[in-house]
Amino acid sequence: MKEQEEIEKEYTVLTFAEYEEGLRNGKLLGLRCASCGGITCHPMPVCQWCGGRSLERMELSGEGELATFTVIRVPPEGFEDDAPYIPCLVKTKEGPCVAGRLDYDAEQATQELIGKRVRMNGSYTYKGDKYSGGAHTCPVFEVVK
Amino acid sequence: MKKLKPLAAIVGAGRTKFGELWYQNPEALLTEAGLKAMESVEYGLRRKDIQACYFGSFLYQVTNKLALIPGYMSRELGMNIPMSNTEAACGSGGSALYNACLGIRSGEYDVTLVGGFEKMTDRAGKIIDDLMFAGDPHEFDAGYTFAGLYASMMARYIHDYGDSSDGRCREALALVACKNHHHAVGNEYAQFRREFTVEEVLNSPLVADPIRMLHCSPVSDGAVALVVVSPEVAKEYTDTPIYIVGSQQATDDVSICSRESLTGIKATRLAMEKVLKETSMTMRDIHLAEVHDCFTIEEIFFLEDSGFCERGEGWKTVYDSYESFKGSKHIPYVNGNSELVVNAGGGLKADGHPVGATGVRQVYECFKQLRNEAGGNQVDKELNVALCHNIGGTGGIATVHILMREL
Repeated sequence: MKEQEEIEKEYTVLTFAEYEEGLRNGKLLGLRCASCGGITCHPMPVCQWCGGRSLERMELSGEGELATFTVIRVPPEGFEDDAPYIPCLVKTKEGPCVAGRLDYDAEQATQELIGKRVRMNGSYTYKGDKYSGGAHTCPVFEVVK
Repeated sequence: MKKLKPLAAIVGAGRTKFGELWYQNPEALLTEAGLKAMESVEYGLRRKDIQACYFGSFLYQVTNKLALIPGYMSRELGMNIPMSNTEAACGSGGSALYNACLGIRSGEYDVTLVGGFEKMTDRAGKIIDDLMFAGDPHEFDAGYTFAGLYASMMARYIHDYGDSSDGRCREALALVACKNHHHAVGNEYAQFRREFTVEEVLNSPLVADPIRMLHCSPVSDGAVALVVVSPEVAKEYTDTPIYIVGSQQATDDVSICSRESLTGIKATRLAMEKVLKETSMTMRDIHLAEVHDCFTIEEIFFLEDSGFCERGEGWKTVYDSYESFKGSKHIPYVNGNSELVVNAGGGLKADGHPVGATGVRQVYECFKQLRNEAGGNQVDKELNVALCHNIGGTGGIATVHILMREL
């Protein structure tokens, strides 16, 4: 029988913990599919484009386009001190769309931002609560001037 | 249109009021709806006639700290038959009915009870986090709320299709709320039976830009139940069964992040294609639709995903129809020769949105309207075909049913 660790490696080439550690070190890590060449980010056991199983780690450029965003005025528990803040979706240059925060003045954020070029400039760590399984990290993006 | 072969029939329906029902627990709400449904059957229904129960709910383990609803319902209804509970977030009720239809279509059951329920208001502010169970944890970690996800889709819709509309697109997104609140005034079970002006919607507090409080459906308690039987036995229970002629479901990524499009719901589009094919219908054949308007943008998405309007044109139909028909008892959407009444009882927006009950409530509303039993809220036109559209989360699942009075 295979050891648990071996099985995990077979199904999880890049773990969430490694992905989030990458974010905290300024890197946006993903997976390249040997079958279709597509990039998967955040990590999954299969390619997000073709379902392929042959994946290898890679690093994304962190550059992309602001697909959309919102300004959170009524925050969930644990995010009260941040509001108003801007969660966003970024269509990366490499293909996948990732959720993160936009580093921008919430009161100045208007619809014109949609479609603007952005790049990752750091990360945000939600400290978590007793149900979240510890802290979690997401990428932070800035608008490219 | 050729005569359709029905796959099931509804012979009874019951519901509770929707709103803040602090004096009730969830199993009591479901029992009330179930008993009302059984007692509404024209020629009577004995509890021992029921062969299986299909329930739908989303959060009761969390909001009410209980589980195994079949055990509660076995006790309260005094039955020991097979029972299941389906969880598909806001699509739980529609999924429960879909499963009941499968049970009947398979030939295993002739008489089933279908129920949906949710008890949310006791959780107060914590419900904001709870609702994100229907989103992706990666989105939650970025600080997204459930309203925030829909806000991001709405922002993109306005950007793509409404930027050059001189504010009419934004106005249309408010008019969906005005229309549905207008429809709820005559609905005795609705949570909010009052009108709102477009100015009130557009000046209500921002929740997640560009979504304001009055773009959102409320947090609600409530339950609804239906007696769903095989077409062969339907006439033993009533002279006017409402037939289910189409029942379809489709799924998509739970996260809006990796979807094909941010300005439409793929699961709705796929389920609608399947159900229109199953019934050999087009949207022109549908007279009444109960649509999943959890946020007003979702009702516009439905108009486009169903093919009633072209992509990007839904807001124009909303705007023009409201201009033409404001003041009438029900304000239909008109596009070319097609006319469709949407959310005759107020929809999720005004009738209320006890999450797991919603998909069943939509069918309840159509059942009453098609039987001409909606009282003061009856639509003033001939209705024979109705459609129910129930989605889960931000579109991770969509279930649609088509109902008919005369085949």
